[in-house]
Amino acid sequence: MEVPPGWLKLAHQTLDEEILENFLAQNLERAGAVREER
Amino acid sequence: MNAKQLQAKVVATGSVGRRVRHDIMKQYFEAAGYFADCAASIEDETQKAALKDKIETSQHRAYVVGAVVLAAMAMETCINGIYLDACSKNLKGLDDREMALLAKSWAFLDERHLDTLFKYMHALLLVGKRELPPGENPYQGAKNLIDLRNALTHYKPEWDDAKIHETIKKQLKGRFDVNPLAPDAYLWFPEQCLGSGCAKWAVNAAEDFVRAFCKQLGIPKRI
Repeated sequence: MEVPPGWLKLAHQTLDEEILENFLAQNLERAGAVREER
Repeated sequence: MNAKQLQAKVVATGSVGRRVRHDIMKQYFEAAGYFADCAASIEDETQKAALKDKIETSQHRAYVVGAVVLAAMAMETCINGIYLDACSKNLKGLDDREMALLAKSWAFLDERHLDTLFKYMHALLLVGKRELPPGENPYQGAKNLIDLRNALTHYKPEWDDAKIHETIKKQLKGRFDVNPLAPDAYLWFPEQCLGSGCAKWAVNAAEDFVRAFCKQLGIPKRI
């Protein structure tokens, strides 16, 4: 699943933190990333 | 109070607005390389004669594990430093908007303690660059290194055919020379795996990944 390009475009245009946090959430879901093991 | 006394008071009570930023990444890389060389020299010496004593075996294991863990630590320190340089608007190669995107994302990334490779790939996406292909080197090497670090850091005793041993063996076997101090009958992981070949591979995997990332992001190389 690709991260929708619209999110990134919007983030670049606005630098809005909420949009950036949503972009991170989208990318996390796509990558299936996990917390770093400590 | 005369002029001299006033000057002394100013000197004594004034504060210097100086901040020092310390980056340990290069030291981690150098220490990892040093440990890999130490492990290799023990292998050279002990191949000529039987193992002198148990201390030397322990030193060898310490050097190899140290190199692997430090190489993985260096990778994480590097990406943290890149985001923090963006926060300080001090990341050559990126424009102000790109630095702002990294800087504003750093707080979310840091508070979630996300895995190292995700932080790297997210930075590329944020500035509109292609991710490094996950199925190929240097990404694959970096992932194998972090998996090995995790297997060592959170080591769980298990039978030789159990999941962790098999996964690590599958990921790493054939990528470097095995530990010459471990007889063939010994377990592949950790005994045959943890030699200077593994230590040097770990350092190279981390360095190759960091170099490829910096090139892809468009910033000057860090190592």
